Amino acid sequence: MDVCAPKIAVLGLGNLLFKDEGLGVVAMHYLRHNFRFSAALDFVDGGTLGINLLDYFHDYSHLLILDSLSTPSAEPGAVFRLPLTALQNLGDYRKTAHEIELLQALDMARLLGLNFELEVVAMIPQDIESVTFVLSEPVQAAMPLMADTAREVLANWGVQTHPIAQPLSAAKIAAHHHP
Amino acid sequence: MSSATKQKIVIDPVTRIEGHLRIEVELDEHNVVNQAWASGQLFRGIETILKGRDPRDTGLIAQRICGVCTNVHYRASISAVEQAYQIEIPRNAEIVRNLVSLALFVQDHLVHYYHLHSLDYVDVVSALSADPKLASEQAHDWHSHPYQCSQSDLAASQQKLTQFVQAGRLGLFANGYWGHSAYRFSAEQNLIHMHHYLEALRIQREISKAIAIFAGKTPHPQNLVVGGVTSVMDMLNPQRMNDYLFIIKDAREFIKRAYLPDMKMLVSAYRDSIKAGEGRGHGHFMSAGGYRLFNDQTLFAQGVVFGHQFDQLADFDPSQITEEAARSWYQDNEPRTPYDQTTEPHYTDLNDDGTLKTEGKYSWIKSPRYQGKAMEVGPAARMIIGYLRDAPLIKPYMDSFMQACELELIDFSSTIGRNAARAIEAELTCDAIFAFASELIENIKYYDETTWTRYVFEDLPSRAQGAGIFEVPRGTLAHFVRIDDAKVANYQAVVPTTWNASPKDGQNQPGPYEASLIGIRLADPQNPLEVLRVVHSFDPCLACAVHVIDAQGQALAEYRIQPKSL
Repeated sequence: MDVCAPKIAVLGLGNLLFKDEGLGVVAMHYLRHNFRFSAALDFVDGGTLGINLLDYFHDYSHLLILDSLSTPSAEPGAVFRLPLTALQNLGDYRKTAHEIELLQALDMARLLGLNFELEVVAMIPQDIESVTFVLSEPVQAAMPLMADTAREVLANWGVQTHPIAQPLSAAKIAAHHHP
Repeated sequence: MSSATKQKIVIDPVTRIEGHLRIEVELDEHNVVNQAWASGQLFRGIETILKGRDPRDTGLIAQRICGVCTNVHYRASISAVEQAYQIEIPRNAEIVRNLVSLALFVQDHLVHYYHLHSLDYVDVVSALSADPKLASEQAHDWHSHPYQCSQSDLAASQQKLTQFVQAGRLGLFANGYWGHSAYRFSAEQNLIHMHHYLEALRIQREISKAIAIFAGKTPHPQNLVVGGVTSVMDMLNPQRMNDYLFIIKDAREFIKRAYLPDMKMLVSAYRDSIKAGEGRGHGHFMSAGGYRLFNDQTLFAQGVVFGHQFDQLADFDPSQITEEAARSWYQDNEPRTPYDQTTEPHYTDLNDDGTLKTEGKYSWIKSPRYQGKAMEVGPAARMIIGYLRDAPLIKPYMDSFMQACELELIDFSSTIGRNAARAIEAELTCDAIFAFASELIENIKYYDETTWTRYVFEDLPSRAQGAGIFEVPRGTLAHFVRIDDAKVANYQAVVPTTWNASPKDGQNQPGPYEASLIGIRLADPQNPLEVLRVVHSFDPCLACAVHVIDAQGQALAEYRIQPKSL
């Protein structure tokens, strides 16, 4: 495995239809558009993949996931970098639900014995209910921080990133990349 | 019964695969459900974002209604616009669309049974203590050539599970009610199921690849356009078709030699529950039919049954569909056709203790009705109606299963029956896929390579309306579009879970979930496994995809990133 070049995907998760719910997808486009990369990366609009996340765990050696995060102790726009070990302690798997989301898909991957590196860069959303393609102010403002955090993850994986001369704002990116 | 003996149980969320569903039930002194309410907990109002758009673009937005069912919403949306403009698509395009939709049936049914529902019946902890040799022998009781069920296969799966559990966290399996008295499988039967749980993970992933062959980009396909499909090169390339069929063939083997035998095992273990009609609703079933075969028959038969009156099958007529919001958090209480629906929220909140205001409005889901009745949709409805219509691709499969398990048609109207219908449908869907694939290959051989019907958008009528109505894995899906001035004037999607999870209506008629829960007895009200079994048997999926990582109650401060400039 190590003798091969890593196969890296940047996977933006969330639903673009519901304001900040889609911030992970916007962050993926923001990163893709505003930087140049020293290695070939696959950028994926993952939408609201459930069990199909397993496809990506299977096909890539390194996965950078950009997503939204719900935690009581932080304000909208707060950015977190969560390594796999942090994720494995997350979520109390509410007793009544049989849900398959990122955390469950990771467990399934563990059960199947799949090997891959994964980190999540996530941001606290403000509004995930309004039906609009426009991101909230705090989420727009924190997008550069989210991108920089994502770049640090990529740097650890040996990928250098360089800002382009005229980057687009998060608002412009969101406006360009909805269906 | 005095109110002091009443006990209320709240289950929230039942599913978060797509959105939130809350169930509240009221128990009598014998722990039997005598009242039930199903509530969708998120306002979505997706339709509002489509107003004013070019009708050719609705499909790309509507597909994002659901993260799991993108393809079927995409297709229904495009078809609604095609119907509005009376554009007939070429046969090849119809078949390519069918190959994608039907592969989704197979994938959805497998994932539903093994990964979303089976743990309501399978005790994973018990599987760890099974004897793999005995389990291998027992697997042969249910099929003469069980799918990869040798002693060493089963022991390997048991080993994987043991390692997973011993790593300290049950994780994936922590949802369950291990040791609950309602579990009936032996340790060996649990191991067989868990072994297939693992195999099904692999197969469902292969089916994703099959879908991608004709749907192009996943998860957000772009292969459909008003008038046809764009995946022309994939259709013409024999290698692509071969890859697709190879995957479906493997899935078919799994269904015939693992899924169906497992279902027979379930039916056998819960025969008394089926015969007692546990989880039976009011018996109003609906199917729009569809998936036209080469001989002008259809894979699924259309029809409507009221109150289990199987001798009075009526024709399905989409003009009989209304939606109302008398008990839903919207302003307009009156039943209206979907073309004239409004989506103005009117949230009346919960009680102070966080329970539903069950006397008033209590759900974000509307109440669709057919001739004023709440209809159950999905595999059970399709299999019952197909059987009654003598549908050539349904009747023999139903007969075979019913004979093997000594079931009658009414038995499919139950919790276990819904699951059995789904497994039978998975089998016959695979076989239908081969029929459609052969027809496509024949067409191409005789140089019919058309995939798109030409039209000039500017010449189309500026006012029109149409519906795209399809049977999809969870039931009847309908998208309705009204076009004015060549723009979308109104848009409504009535999805399968809207039918099944609908709240009561102005007449106080319960929705199918609610009706099916009445009479269920709970062994332990603190662990309401029996309620989950009923609701999960419908394959709930709310049309509202949200995927926030949930870290409630976790300390994450150490992972917080601070802006450097501050």
